Amino acid sequence: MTHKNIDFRVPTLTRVEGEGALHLTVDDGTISDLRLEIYEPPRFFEAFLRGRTYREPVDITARICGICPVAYQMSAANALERISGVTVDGQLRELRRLLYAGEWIESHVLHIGFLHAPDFLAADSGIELAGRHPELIEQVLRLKQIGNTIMEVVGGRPIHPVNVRLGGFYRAPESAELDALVEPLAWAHEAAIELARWVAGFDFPELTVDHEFVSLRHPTEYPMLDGRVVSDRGLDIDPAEFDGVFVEEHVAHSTALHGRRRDGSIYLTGPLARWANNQDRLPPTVAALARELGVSGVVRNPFRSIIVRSLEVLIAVEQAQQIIADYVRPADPAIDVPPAEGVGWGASEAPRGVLFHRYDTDADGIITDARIIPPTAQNQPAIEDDLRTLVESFLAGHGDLDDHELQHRCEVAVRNHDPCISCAAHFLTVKVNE
Amino acid sequence: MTDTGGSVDAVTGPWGRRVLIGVGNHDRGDDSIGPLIADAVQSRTDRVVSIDREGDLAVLPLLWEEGDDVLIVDAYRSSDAVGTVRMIDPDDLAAGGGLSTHGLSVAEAVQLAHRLNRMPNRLRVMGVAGQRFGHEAMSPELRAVFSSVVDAVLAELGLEEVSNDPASPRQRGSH
Repeated sequence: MTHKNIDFRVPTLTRVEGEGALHLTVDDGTISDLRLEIYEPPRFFEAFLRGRTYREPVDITARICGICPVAYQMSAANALERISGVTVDGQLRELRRLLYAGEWIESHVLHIGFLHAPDFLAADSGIELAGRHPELIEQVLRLKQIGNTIMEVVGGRPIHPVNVRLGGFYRAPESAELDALVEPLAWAHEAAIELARWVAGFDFPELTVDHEFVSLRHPTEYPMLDGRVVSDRGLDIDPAEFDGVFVEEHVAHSTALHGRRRDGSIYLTGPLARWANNQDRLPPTVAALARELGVSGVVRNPFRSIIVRSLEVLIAVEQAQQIIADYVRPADPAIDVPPAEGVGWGASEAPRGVLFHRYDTDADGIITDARIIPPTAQNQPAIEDDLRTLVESFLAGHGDLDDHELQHRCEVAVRNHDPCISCAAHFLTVKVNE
Repeated sequence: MTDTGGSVDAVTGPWGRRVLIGVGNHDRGDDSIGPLIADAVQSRTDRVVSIDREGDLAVLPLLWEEGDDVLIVDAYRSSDAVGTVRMIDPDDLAAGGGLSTHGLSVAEAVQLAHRLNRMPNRLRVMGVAGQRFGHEAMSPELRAVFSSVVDAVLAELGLEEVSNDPASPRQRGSH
């Protein structure tokens, strides 16, 4: 045991979305303070959804995040269509999955190439990395561009899609528009494989975490658009049962609520959780590549999440290819979703984890209450636990790091989970006295 | 939205293929000037490849080729009068760029293009001073000078004659 004192504060975490800080104090070899502090001001989306009509959340909540707007649209649609008793299936559902695949591709490759890979290659940024690996970073950009194009073709524009509505879309793309994506996606398939092999060659620090992995699970698909909520410890519930299993807690050092199981235990959502819970849903190509890269099965080292994330890019590419190959333009771009009174939960897999929405509506479809539970808020306790495990291992004499290197290692441990602080900081509960 | 422009000959000027990239956000007041300028130029001439680039700029280096003559138009915030047009040296821009997170700025995208060895034949940046950058409409002051900014862009592209072309949509009163 090292009887040392450490005190560092990273006032602004870099290469994460949003505003957060990291504090660590060690007194005489014991951690006395360790906090992932989220200080970005809340934006009160839930409060101003109240009083709006049930058709509006798919557009309003998309504005919460510029990198995962589709996740917000889909979780909102799932919840609100459920209240109305409507199921969107067939080609309309496939178009939603295609749109979501575009978001996964663009979000994941940005994180892999520009936010996370620099950590393993001693670079300060993706821009610096581009100077050393121009071909690979250009490949990352081209992959991102393909994700953007899918978003534009299906969603109407590359960010904050405007073509999504309850029941489907305002306009279904022509087959020729999707056919134009066939060739780029064939290239993307090879590029995604190359990207996965590249990141799998990084030198990863040792860290084993014991979080419960919580994700969605679909009867036949790798989870993205919808599914039941499952875990590697036997949880299997409908999203509507969230409150019976999970709680959101306010902590002083975060403007985002912390998610926990009701028994106080920590859980993790995101690529590692999806991967752990859905091994039998992997396409054969991905399963084979995972075996080649040594990540077949459950991965409990968060530093290796970059490999899983890159394999999820390949999953998204294959999903897009399949949907386009089978596409038949629907006769109507949407089905009717009438207003209804009720409570509806919806969940989908944002690139960084499960995103839950809950809405209460009256008979006219006016929203009387809204809750949004984003993955980063749920993941905060797990991220802090990763940091604690990492520092305790260091204090126990494992690892040869100076204090500066430890600080950097801690920052990487946060980035392992691709936190989107801007998403997470929207959700302080506001009680309106009327 | 991208317009591939007219024939290769039509879009090629002395510095290469003319590429206009309007950067900004349609929903953010004066920040919409870049995309709207690109759209306006596209409606008036097929002698430019006009690109309305909304959102993340990481892929900016992929929007041009080595032999291109690129003009980026973007809004800027300063004490300058609204609608002031400034040509900004891309390298000065790069030096002053701040790092964002899930998206790159123009400055960073230019840095990235340098690192990737994907700089065009000529790259220029035109800044247009704005004052409103919230979820609101374009300011009346900027709207009032919009046509003159379009003319300035056409002049920078060496297409002054389009401004005076009686067949151009604006000259027909349809900006």
